[in-house]
Amino acid sequence: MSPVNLSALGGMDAQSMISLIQSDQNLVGTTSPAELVAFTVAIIIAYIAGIFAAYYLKRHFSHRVKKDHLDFWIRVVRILFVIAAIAITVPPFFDAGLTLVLWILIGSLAVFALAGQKVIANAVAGVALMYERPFASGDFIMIGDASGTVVSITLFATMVRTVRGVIVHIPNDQIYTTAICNYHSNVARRYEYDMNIRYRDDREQAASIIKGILEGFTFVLKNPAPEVFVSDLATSSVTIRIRVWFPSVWANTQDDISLQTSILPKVKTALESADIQVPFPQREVWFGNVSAPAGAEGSVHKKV
Amino acid sequence: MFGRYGADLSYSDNTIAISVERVGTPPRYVRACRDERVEKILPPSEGSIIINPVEPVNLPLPLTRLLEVAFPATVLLPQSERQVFLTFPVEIGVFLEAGGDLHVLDIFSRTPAKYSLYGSPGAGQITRWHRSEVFGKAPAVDRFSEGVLDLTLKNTSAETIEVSRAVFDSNSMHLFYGEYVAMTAVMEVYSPMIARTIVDEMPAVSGMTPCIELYIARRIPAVHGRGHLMEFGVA
Repeated sequence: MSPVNLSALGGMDAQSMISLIQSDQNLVGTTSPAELVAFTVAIIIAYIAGIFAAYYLKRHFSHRVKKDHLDFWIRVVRILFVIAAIAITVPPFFDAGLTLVLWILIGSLAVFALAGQKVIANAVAGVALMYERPFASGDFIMIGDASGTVVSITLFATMVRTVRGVIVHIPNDQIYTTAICNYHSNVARRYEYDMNIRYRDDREQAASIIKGILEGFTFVLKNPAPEVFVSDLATSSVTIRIRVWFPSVWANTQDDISLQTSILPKVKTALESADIQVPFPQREVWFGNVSAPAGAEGSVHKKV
Repeated sequence: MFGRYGADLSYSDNTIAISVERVGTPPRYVRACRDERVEKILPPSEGSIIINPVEPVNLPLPLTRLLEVAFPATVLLPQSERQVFLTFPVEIGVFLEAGGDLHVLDIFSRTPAKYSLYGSPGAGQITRWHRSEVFGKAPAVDRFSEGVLDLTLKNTSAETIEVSRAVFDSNSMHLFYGEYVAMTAVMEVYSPMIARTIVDEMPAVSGMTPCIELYIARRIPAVHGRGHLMEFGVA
């Protein structure tokens, strides 16, 4: 077979092109025009088959598999189709000469090694994240300074939507080397609140009122039961600590705004209805020139 | 209130008010219950409204598909079985059957919901929680608030076991209604930690009407007959 002048291909008409394909002339190395066309057609077929496979997978698995995982497997299937097409049609190309192929491979590797270090690191981290699954799409996570709901996990980066509605792209290698807080991986989470009451208020009554409100709140879990107890005798108040568990999926955020807005106002209102007040900070100042009341310790004092 | 309605529908008591008005345009569905009001415009085609109890795990949010019924500890001798009657919360589903399709129009309940954790926070499950007394026969209940669970407890182990909770998967529930809302189930206790609950597909009392379950209306694939495996204890 004799080689073909590739620069002349651009000016050929259809009849000449068909004749060229049917001929046994070489285009690249020992590759014939028919083999080159077969390669092109195979790639196109693989691409179209990938589209159909993606449609089939989405239709049958979108309600069973999380979106980011499904997207990942769709990409894998499409890449496999293309690899299969190349594997079937490319072997004749290697007759072009082993030296040329080796140089191309070495050149490609050098380009990847020099220019794509970060990309490769991200891709490796992405595969590791896919395998280990420290979080999934829809989870609320905190990575470094960024926190929000995971929108998608791709090969190179993870998209997180913050509570302000901003999408943050975090490179996967950064995620893999940073501590991750996942607020959604456990089915239940616990929160603590501190309520302060005056020293003269009835602590048992306050605890009973708070427990009643927690009992009547739907999303405070029955088990583990809420805990209400005196946690501190502070300078000007008695601190009552409230510990509650609730479903993670209900308040899938880092903060506890859902619970705060639901429970704390009710607790405050109920305590105030029972004349149990949140005290103001108080300080007693003693003066040396005021007569001491009977029974007072120390010298003399005046409360201000 | 439970049943199938082809024409106008109007029901009200102290806590529930439902009406379907097809006269005038457009026809509309209106429901009020526990300070909540729902109003929807219905399609003008001829269709049926079906009202029946549904799996009680949907309100206020579909956080779980498990129903946990807690009851006073009941002692089971080795290789023994006993029948107890419990109560469970009732949620009422309103379906629109038209054009060959079954659409969930509304779900509401008179019973306040409470959630619980069955198992550990890491590996456990969120359940819709309900407290019941143990009865020797079917108790008198308000059928729009509570149903009657006919539960057969079977201790298949060689030790005496105390049982105080049963967890059911809503995807394998079968509810019936008549004078009251009913569910019949078996709880096979294998050990103090492991048990299986299986809901019967037949009512304990003949003549009851089977309910349309949500997993059927929503075309959710469900595995029947295998029940739910309780892996985090029975007490």
